[in-house]
Amino acid sequence: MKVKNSNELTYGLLGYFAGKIAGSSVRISGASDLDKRSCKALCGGMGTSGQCGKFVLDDNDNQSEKVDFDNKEMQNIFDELNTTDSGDLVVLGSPQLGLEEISDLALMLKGRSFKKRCMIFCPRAIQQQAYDLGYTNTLKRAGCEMLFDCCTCLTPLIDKDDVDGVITNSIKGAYYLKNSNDVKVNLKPLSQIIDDETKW
Amino acid sequence: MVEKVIVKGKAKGKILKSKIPINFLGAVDKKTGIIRDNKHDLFQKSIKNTILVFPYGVGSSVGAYTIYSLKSNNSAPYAMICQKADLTVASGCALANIPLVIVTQKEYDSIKNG
Repeated sequence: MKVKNSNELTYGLLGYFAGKIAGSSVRISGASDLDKRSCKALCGGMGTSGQCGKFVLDDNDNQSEKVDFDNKEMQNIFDELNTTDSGDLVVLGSPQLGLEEISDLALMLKGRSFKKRCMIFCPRAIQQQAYDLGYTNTLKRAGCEMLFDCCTCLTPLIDKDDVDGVITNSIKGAYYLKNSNDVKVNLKPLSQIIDDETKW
Repeated sequence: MVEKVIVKGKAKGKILKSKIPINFLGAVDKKTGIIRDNKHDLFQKSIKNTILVFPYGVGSSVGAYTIYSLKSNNSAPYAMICQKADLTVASGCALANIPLVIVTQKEYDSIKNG
């Protein structure tokens, strides 16, 4: 991993890259400071492009064959999956959001509201916990729709007849939305989605 | 030479060979069997009624249900030949009763389109 100033989108792109070239397992160096969101993005990207079932974050491996993931490789994958510069729908949660991510999101959205429709995908159990802890209220106030028992990649709710472009921070979501749902995708990290797509 | 039979059966048809793995959920139209991923070497080709030869399956395990849907929509290949066994393709073929075999590298390389 040779990309500086990384975020969850970078790690999703790294996962997609690693999945394409790795076999059943891969060691990744230069990425030891992953938070949970980035780690999930890495897994999601890897599972989308490959069949790699295991990765190890390891900066001290000198024996394996090394392949660099640099800005050029990252841009190539970004250009493959980012098919539009804007969208009319924000989609978060591919892989589905966990409680920690929902809590972070609720904090980031406090006092803000989305200018566009925003769909959030999470498991049913998490949806209930988020409701009990009051996060659902904050998110609904910010204009988010909470969806459970379904997934970004399979939902019939995102259809090319209704939606021109989807804004997401998920590489996994981008691949399947582009290919399965036939909609255009605008990829941005979550922080930028909130800056660009919400208002105070 | 067949290395392993994953799903037993007999099939006869035209060979359609790909050099790159297939993500069934993302790359295949389950109604028509047409490959819709424009980055794939079989882009816009139909896998319907073929003997599909490809290295292995990648991506979401939901791809197994795509294989089942292909069969239900009469758009599935007659059989599949792979280099490596993977859970998605194996379970999809088992569900849909599509013969699936794993062949040696030498045999795989010798299979030609047509």
